Amino acid sequence: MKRIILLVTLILFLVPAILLATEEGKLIIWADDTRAPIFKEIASSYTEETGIEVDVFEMTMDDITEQIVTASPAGEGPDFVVGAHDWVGRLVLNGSIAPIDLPEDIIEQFDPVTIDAMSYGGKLYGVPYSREGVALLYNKDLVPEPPQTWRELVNIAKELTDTSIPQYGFLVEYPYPYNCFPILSALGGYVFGKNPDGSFNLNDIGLDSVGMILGAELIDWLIEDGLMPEEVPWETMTGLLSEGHLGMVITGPWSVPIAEKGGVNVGVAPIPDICGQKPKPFVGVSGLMVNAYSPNKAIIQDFLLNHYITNEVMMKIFEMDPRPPAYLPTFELVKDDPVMNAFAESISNGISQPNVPEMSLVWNIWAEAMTMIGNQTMEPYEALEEADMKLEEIMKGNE
Amino acid sequence: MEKKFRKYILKISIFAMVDALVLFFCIMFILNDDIIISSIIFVVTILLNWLGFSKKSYPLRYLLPGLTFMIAMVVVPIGYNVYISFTNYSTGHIVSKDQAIKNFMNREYFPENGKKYDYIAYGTPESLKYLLLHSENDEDTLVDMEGNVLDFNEIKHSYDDSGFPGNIDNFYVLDQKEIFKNIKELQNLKITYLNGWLRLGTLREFYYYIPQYTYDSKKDILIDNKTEKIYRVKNAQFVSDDGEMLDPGWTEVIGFQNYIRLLTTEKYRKPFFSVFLWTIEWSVLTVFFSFVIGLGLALLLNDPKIKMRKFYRSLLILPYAMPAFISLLIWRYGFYNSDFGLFNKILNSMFNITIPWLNSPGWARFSVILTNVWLTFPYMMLVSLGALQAVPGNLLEAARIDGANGFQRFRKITFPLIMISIAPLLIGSFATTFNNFTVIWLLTEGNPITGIGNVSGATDILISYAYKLAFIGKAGNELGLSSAVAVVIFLIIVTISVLSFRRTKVLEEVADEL
Repeated sequence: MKRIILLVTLILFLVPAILLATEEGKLIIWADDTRAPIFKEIASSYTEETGIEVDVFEMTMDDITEQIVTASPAGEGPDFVVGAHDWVGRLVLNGSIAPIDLPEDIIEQFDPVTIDAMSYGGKLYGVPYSREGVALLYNKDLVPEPPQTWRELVNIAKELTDTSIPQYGFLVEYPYPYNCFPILSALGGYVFGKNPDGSFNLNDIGLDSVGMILGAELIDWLIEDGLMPEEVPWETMTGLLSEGHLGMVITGPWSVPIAEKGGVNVGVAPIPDICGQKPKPFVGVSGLMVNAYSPNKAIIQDFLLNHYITNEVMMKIFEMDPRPPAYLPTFELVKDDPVMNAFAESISNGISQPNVPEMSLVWNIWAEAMTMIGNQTMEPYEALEEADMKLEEIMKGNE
Repeated sequence: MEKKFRKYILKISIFAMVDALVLFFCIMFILNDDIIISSIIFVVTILLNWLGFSKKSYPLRYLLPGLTFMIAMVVVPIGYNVYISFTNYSTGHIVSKDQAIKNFMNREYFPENGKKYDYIAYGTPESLKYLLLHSENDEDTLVDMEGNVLDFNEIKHSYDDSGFPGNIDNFYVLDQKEIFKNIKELQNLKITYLNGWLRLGTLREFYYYIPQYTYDSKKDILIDNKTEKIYRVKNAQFVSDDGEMLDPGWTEVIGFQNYIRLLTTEKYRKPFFSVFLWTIEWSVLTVFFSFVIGLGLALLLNDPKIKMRKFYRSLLILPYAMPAFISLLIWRYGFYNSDFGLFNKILNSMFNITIPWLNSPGWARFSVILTNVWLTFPYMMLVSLGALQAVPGNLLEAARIDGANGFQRFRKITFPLIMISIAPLLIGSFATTFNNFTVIWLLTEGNPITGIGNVSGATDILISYAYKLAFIGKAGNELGLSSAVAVVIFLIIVTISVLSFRRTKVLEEVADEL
């Protein structure tokens, strides 16, 4: 009697368990909480068209980049991950993502910077959908007309800055190289040189290039003149901005809602020219990447070519996540939003933020050099030259 | 009897449920080639069942849960950490060698002027039977679902009016929806062709692909079929003779190399000792000051002459009761910020001075200790209060009669007595502070920096230094190296703890003499 009961219960629990086993022939997408809802929409319309199921799982970005490395080779990974282009280098190094073959005429329909951003070692590893970068955000009540030149910008900054309130005319998040880069790059500063094939030349580090040093000097003067504190963390910047005590700031679309919540009359303009040269902000790109171990190569290709890279889908993504589309036919259709268009104009001069895994080290050492410049321990040329030298040593493999 | 039987059935069903669940996981793990995990779970479950039903194992039933948790939460993580410190686990070396080879075998290329084929599928809605492949220049090819090329003329077929083979072997042409239903079968189809194979390239076409690499398992080399380059194994990666490295590499055991690297590389070694010294300073000063303040307050609050003791006590416990995650951020941004922080605002308006609380190395060290003392003194006060209750009043009374003054009574009686119970707690507190990553990371992240390209900042303690080491590799994570640092820290703490506990034994002897 007892044994029979035992057996029956056992069987009752085993049957559904076996039915739960994973199946091939359907797509799995991993996306973070802001992108998952978008891709759930897109997935359902693909299922309607083809009858092929698509599951979208919501995970944090860190979980995605960490888990795909170990889950994919074990056959438990997704077919696609939705992510930022700066993952590409690291994921390629770990063998997690596979190159994507797209016909030339389709690649031409994307903003070249975004394709550049998603490429590694001359191969394309992701299909972009949006791009973003920094521009000059200004408070229309304090700055009625955005400045056209750096000189005008400095003059406005001098007029508005009053540290006793405190109020600042112009800020850039400091010492963060990402935010400072437009100023550093305008006169020719760069991070890595390029090989003839378009890949980054890790032995040509441009932290000590003349343009970079001159750009750092410009920021250093603002600090020396008391127009900018020696350190501007995110909290300080957003605090001043939303309280209406900040005239202009170099920042991205993510700061617009914060300013608007504080009741600020927000305007966005391209960052003013420096000595007649256009500042070049870093462009960040979001897109789809493909698991190197996926068994569904044909479905993936079909999903990309016949569904994802179409005006309807790209439009749907834009509606749910209003950042400048990377797919140019869609971008043409949505150009009339002034804020988005200003950001798009600013990043149209931009360059893709390097996606090599070495970049995380560069960010650190670069920020350290900027800190030393900001707290007046070192002159820009000293700090940047030392940073450059340290990086060159590491790249050569001497620790 | 009836009740007992019911209880027994309940027990059996619970065990059955657990066993079934375990069996499910075992099967899943076996399907995923994780035979080791599967067998561990299996053995553990059998053990559990034996525990549940055997009379002999009765005492173990109470001991085992604790033992299990200790093994799962302490022994296994430490063991894994030690294991990782002996491997090259880092970005680019995360998968196993088999997985890396599988990755290379998976790579194929589409040759220049490679062929593409349309296809027509024949079968029933439930399954595919034949494919007719068609390309512009070639003759049509008929294949079955095993990938064999068939002779079109040997199989019965009929043409419809337009001259199109609408029926083969009594199977009809499937429409797209029907094909997509069987997409799994279609995707797995590989038709051997020349040097490679035809497989589904998009849903509507077959492409000719050539595998990019061939692996020679005897020689352990990888050959690129396109360029005929040979890649040999070097440092857990395939490297060609001209130095080109293929990603990914794999994880392998490299012995003591991480430890040797830590000791011989100037960049790591130099900060290691200065960070170690600062960690000791930070722990000793924090424990000392928080204990002095805590004990002082406890002595005050223990004095019955003070009114509203309960009120003060609850007020003083606040720093301890508040979540440190929040209060630390308030200290960092609200108090210490050099431009907008409360401290500098007050100092600035009253004395017109500005202090770089977190921006200069000396001040930053002072600030983190100040904050940590603020966080820790309530704990010290609490334990001291508790210990003070245990000091027998008659001893103090006797001392007073003998003519000892207040300080002498404290020095000779109260202090030695409370130290018996507090000394081990101080050692515990020391060990916690030694590894208090949260406070350092939330306050300063180890900054301010001590120079460009230095791994450690001025307030980095060993554990935050280890964390930073994990992420400063040339190309991403250096988890192996970082684990080696963690093991070293572990050994240091064990040594300090053992030595200190020996000392507290001495204290106990003092107490016995009293």
